[in-house]
Amino acid sequence: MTRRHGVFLLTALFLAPAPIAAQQHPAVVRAKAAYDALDFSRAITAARNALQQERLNAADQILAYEVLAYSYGVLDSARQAVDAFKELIFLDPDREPDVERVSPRITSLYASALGQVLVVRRLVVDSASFVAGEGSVPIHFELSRAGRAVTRVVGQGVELVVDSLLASGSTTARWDGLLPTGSPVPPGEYQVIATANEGRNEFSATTRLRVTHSAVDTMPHLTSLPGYTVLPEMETPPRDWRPLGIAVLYAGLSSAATLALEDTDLGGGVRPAILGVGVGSLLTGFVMSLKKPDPRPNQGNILYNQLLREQIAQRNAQIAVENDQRRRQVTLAILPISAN
Amino acid sequence: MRPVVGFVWLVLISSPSQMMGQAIRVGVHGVAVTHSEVTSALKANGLGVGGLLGLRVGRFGFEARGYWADLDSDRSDGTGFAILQVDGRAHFVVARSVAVEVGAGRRFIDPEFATQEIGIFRVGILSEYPLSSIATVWGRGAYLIASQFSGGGTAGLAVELGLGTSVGTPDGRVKALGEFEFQRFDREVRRQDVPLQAMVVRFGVEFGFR
Repeated sequence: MTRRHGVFLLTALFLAPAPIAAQQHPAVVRAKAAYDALDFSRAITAARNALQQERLNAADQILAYEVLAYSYGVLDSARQAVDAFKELIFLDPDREPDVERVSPRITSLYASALGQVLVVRRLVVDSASFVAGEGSVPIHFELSRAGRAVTRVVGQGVELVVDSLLASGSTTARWDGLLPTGSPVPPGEYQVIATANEGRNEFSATTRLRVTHSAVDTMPHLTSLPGYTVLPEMETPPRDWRPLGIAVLYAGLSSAATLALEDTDLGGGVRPAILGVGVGSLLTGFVMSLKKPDPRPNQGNILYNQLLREQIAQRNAQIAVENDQRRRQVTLAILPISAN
Repeated sequence: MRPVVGFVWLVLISSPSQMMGQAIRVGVHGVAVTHSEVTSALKANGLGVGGLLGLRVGRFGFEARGYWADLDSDRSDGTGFAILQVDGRAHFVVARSVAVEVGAGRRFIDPEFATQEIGIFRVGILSEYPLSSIATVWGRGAYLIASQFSGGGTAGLAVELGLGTSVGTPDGRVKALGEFEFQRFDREVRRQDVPLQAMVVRFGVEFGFR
């Protein structure tokens, strides 16, 4: 065994080829079969022939470049492997070698290729729901290297530039879902286009999302304030002898004054009247003292309740204003649409 | 003009809540009257009927009342007579339970010269206090000024005192009342004392309207 063959065998053993998904086109199938059979030279030939001579669809092209890149990698043809990976990256930036199943060398070659091209990868839009003008939806993506990233949203007759910034690696643009006029975008499907620019190089990645409108929830009016309760405005005082005391005072003063002013020389007739009405008054006072007292207004509680009602009224006025604004607002629900 | 301006001013200073508390009262009374003149020998007693119409507007109260009574003399040879007494009163509440009261009254006698017919003006105090939501007690005292007598003369001391109590429904629609009203006139005619004294006891019912 020559030294060259030994290196090849070692490389073949350690850098086991990754499994490649089955494809329809026979030329690509042949290249994959050669790759699976560890006949990397034939795999390279078959893949190149398929790419040069056959009309392949995008998926087949991706697989052909992948067979090519992996085979070059296994055969230590680094430059060709990187070139094949570049083509692969341009076709499908999100397709990466599975680090669990391919050798670190191939991963390293992929990373080298990625560093030489400017592409937008992993473009993802989060789900979000917010009141138009009061929130935004994050749009995440990665730039393979430093460049200007322009994020646009297109659809429903609208084209909006969400953000334009110099970035490298992972970055996030935030879309508020508003038109330049400040109105929310119409409901429907939109395409999010993230474009990376560097000199003449330009690469775009797209994804789709759906915008729906719904009414903003309004707040219910308050009937009470948390932690504050309405106090009883009428309170029944304890039973007392005040009515009898008042009756004694009135009857005593009036009777005494009348008796003092009575001219006794003019005969009687006064005292029975005083006695009758006076005793009637005292009896009335006595009965009213025994009677359960009537509820009386509690001024402190009345004032407290008045302040409480004023607070509730003020808060309800604020709620009414806020609800009025909310009724004119729209909740935007933004959902990414799966590529599948 | 000044009294009118004063009245308007009083109406204006009355609190709105009290102004809203308008009430009309109509009452029917049975009366027992004791009337004495000069000496105990000229004492007469009798029963009669009376009535009342009252109006309360805020701090103001107006009242027209009267009674008619047929009196018999205590003496076997004395002659009886009938009294028709009419009074008008107005009061203004100056503090809780205290009102200033003014008014005028006229006492007619039939037959005409059986005893003195009297005309009076009064200025006094009316104090009314609620014992509960259904019972009230009141007292009044007034000085009777410029008393006029059909037989002439003047009264150096002329006073009126009263005490009353009522029990009724909480809304004031109906109430029963008992009241006495005492009047004394120290009348002098040509330096001769010819005093007059009267006690009127009323029992009756009153109806209130809003």
